[in-house]
Amino acid sequence: MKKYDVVVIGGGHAGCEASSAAARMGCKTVLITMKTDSIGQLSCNPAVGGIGKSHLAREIDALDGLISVVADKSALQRRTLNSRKGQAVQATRIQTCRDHYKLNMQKALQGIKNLDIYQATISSIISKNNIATGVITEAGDKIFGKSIILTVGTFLGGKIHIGLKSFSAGRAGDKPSIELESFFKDYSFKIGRLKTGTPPRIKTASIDFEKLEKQNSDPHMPKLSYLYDHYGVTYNEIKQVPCHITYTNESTHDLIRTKKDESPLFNGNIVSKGPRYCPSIEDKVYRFSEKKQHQIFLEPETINNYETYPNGISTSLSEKDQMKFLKTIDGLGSAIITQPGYAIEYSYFDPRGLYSSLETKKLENLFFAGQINGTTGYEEAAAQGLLAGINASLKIKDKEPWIPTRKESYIGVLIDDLVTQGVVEPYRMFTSRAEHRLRLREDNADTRLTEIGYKLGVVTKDRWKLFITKVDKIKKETRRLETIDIDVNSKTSKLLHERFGLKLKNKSNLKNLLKMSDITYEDISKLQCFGITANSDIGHIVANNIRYEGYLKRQDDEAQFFSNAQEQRIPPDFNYDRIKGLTNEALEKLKEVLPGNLGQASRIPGITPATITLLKIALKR
Amino acid sequence: MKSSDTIAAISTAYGFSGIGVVRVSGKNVSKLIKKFFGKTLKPRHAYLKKIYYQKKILDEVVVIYFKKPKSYTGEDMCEIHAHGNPVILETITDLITSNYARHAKPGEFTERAFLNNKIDLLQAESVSDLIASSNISAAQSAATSLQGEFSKHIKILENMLLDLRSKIESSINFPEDEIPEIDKRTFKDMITNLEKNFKDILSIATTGEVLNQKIKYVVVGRPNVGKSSLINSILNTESSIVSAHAGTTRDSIRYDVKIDNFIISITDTAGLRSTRNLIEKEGIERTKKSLSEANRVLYVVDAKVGFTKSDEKLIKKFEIKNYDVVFNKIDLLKEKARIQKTKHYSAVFLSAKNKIGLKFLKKIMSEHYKSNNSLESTVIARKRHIENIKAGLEQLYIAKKHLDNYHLEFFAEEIRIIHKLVSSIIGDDSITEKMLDKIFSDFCIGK
Ligand SMILES: Cc1cc2nc3c(=O)[nH]c(=O)nc-3n(C[C@H](O)[C@H](O)[C@H](O)COP(=O)(O)OP(=O)(O)OC[C@H]3O[C@@H](n4cnc5c(N)ncnc54)[C@H](O)[C@@H]3O)c2cc1C
Ligand SMILES: Nc1nc2c(ncn2[C@@H]2O[C@H](COP(=O)(O)OP(=O)(O)OP(=O)(O)O)[C@@H](O)[C@H]2O)c(=O)[nH]1
Ligand SMILES: [Mg+2]
Repeated sequence: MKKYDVVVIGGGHAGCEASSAAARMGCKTVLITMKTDSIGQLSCNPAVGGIGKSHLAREIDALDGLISVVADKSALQRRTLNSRKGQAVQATRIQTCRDHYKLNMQKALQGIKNLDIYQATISSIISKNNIATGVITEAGDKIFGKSIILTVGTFLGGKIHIGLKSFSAGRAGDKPSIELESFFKDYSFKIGRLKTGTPPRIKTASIDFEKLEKQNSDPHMPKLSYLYDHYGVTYNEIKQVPCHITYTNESTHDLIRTKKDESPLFNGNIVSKGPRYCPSIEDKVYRFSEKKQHQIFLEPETINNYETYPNGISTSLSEKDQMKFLKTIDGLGSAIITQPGYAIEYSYFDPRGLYSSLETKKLENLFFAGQINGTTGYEEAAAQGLLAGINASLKIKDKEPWIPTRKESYIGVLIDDLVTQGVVEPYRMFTSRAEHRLRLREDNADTRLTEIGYKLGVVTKDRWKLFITKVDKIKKETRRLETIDIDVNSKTSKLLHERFGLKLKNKSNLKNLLKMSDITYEDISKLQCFGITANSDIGHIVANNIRYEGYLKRQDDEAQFFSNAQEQRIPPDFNYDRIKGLTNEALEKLKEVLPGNLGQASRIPGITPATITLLKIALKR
Repeated sequence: MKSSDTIAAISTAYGFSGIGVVRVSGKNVSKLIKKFFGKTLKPRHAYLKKIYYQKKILDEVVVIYFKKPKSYTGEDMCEIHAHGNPVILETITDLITSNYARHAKPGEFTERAFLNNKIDLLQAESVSDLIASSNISAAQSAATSLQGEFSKHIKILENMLLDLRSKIESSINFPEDEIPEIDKRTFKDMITNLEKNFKDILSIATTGEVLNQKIKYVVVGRPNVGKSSLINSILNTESSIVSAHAGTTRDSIRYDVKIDNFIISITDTAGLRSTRNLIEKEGIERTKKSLSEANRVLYVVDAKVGFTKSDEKLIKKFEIKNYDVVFNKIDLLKEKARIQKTKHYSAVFLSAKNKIGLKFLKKIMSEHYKSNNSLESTVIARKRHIENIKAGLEQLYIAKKHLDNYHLEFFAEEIRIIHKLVSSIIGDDSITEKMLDKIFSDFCIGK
């Protein structure tokens, strides 16, 4: 009989982070997955990061997670998005080599102490008195664990649609998990259906890139992991491969229009909801008929560049029709499909059935993470995996769970949205979801989280040391800037006036200069009085900290204006029935969601400020 | 945004009474006392002081200062005892909240008292019943005050904000999609429009409408029962035409009347009947319209004839609600003036012509006034709304500055806060969802 501290089911993005985090926290952990070779497989497009998503990836990295390091080591093309729109909304996007990514992920996992990897398909959970104690494989083997983390992605009741054909599958080439789903149905977990889709893959050699716009890496080669930018660790960059851009046109659209009846998305075969921000090409053509063209990014799948991923035309038309419409597109006239696109319907659990720790309310010691909670995307899955790994370990050690807040991280926003609002479509992170967006930047995820992670035990000593070194440098540079004064009548002062229209009223140091004006760190570094400094990366962080400081204070004021005592905890066993004066509606909602703190309670749709006041009073008991 | 931790509210029951009290609690109290009354006051002593509004004396009040922790809430507090006139009390609260405090939420004084250990749980819970009930009326008031012009404006404002935000946020969140790049000019125009709308709302909301909430009465009944006479004797003048011919009053005529301590509006109408006369028909249409705007109806009958089946029919036909019945002309019957309450209405027996029994009618009216809760909460809800609109306008000025420097993320942040301020007036906080809905329906997003 096999016994572990933590048992993780599923080797996707959630599973990889969950199992590695638990192992880092010293728990004896096993990662059980259907096929060990497909651990770390990118089921959809081979890119990591992007707006909102790279913010999550940075946070995972700050907690010593794997996704950013693995993506950096597998990068084919690197870009910074929104570079002119402000530091807080700027993001990094990395096009990876699918093969390298998988391999690097597997290597990373193999290098972790306390972590076993095991190939099996799990068909059921062992439980007693509503406490989960282990899992059963298809072959009937039992594996026991003090905590169980389920991360089976799109596999629960997965059903693929290609044209008028449909069949059960977890994703292309994988079996679905049917038995496992029926276990949860029997246990009356709230299960819903969602759908997503993927485009056909094209043989790269069959594409004519000649006339297409080419997109190379940005010259400054942005990184996702702190190790490789702020901490100065080095690694071997693999060969860069560019992306290309092409467009659909009216003939493409005409063709797709005639096939409306054969698209399972529109002929009624698929009823589940898909993400609005990731529409299929059918959706785009039918819903935005006034648009004459739609953009397609042609992304390399691997370093050998055998296959290309045409990003922007996910489809569920028949393979024949996919072929037809591809041929109408510039550069794809003689395209050869290597794998058809498809839509997939799958089951997910209503995330309102979870505590903020990601433990299920129905079965103690069972945690859910990743796409099964109604999210979509690698980073979203990885973030939940990491959190579930941390909390499953804390649970074993009899410690309070770690609940990241909305103010502290995108992970906090993600979890809070999921458990209080539930989902109506696959949930993806957008920076608009974060009311503390100006605080939650790519450049400061480590200052926000690494110390917390170190105390929790999920951040290793090595990383901690690197982080501390950076913090020291920041402090030093900040102090240095404070000591460099500019006199009102000095030459520098005149220069500032000429160049930036800045009129100094009093003697001012360089730090204040950054605070009160639009002048950048780069600008001041050109002043004569500036002197020599260590590292311009650090300088930018220092400047950002100074710039945003005043703003963050205003955000705090705002939070106060709208409500207070957000963070006050509500114990999970809190008895709402004892609060006098609650309306039935409020009572019902509070009992369903079981909010973790007052802030969460106030965000439940339909909960009024008066209810919060009553709750606050009752909590002081 | 102003400091959020000093709160103020009228803490006596709404309506006219001998004395009304405005309470203030929080750290700005001593500053406020100095500003209003020119010097610091000794704690727990009553001072007779004058309060000024636009350089004129508003009221003579008694002020008491409580120094923390020896106060109800445990914070610095001040009580202003003024004359129990809603207009005066609202104005005083206005003066305070425009600079030194914000409006207290329901139960907030008690909440503070409890959190500062000034009262125990039992006391707090008995107050919590009160909060729960004011919760319902607050919800109602939000609904009532959101009918009509004001709400139309707020909704327009929210749509403008949604439009602006969906443009900003889509450009921030989906830079790789082909969303038309928005130039500074477009944003500037949108901001200018917003500013104009904010200002319009402020002027609508502050010009009297808020303070001049009064109960609207409409007097109806069959022709010649003495409706105009009744109003005349209430008005104590002979300004309305009084005649002995059926169907004299053809227009609805509105009067504002001060009764004892409060103000009502009262509308005279044409007698109710089915008529072929075109002009009278028009009068009846007007009566219908007046009825639809009424808070209360006085249904007048001739006491000699009594309240008959055909009166019942008329009440049904004209969908008259919230009515009392006036039995007029009791002089002809030698009946005594009195009030008689029935299940559906109060019956007042009087003589308009001889001015007998008018005091009974006034008594009923003042009961209406006191029990009109929705009036109270409407006013209070409006105040909170105005506060949000003012804060929103302030933010807008800051937003403009960020736009000038093209700091998109800061600009976006200000607009988000404004959106939140406006949509919390409607009581709907799901601004992110609304904004995402707008983005996905307006733009073709996604690869
Ligand atoms: C067709 C398709 C299109 C997508 N399109 C997009 C997109 O456009 N944009 C986007 O952001 N995201 C997209 N995604 C989503 C993204 O791939 C997922 O969100 C992410 O991979 C989820 O990670 P996960 O760890 O939760 O699950 P997965 O990566 O799906 O991993 C699940 C793992 O569990 C294992 N497993 C399943 N059942 C069992 C079992 N019973 N026993 C043992 N192991 C089991 C599987 O083998 C697999 O390793 C798409 C996914 C698919 C399938
Ligand atoms: N005896 C007596 N006569 C009254 C009384 N009130 C009104 N009248 C008389 O009734 C007649 C009609 O009075 P109005 O006040 O014009 O009646 P009205 O309901 O306004 O009539 P229309 O506007 O035509 O519908 C007049 O002759 C009044 O003098 C009353 O209390 N006692
Ligand atoms: Mg008349």
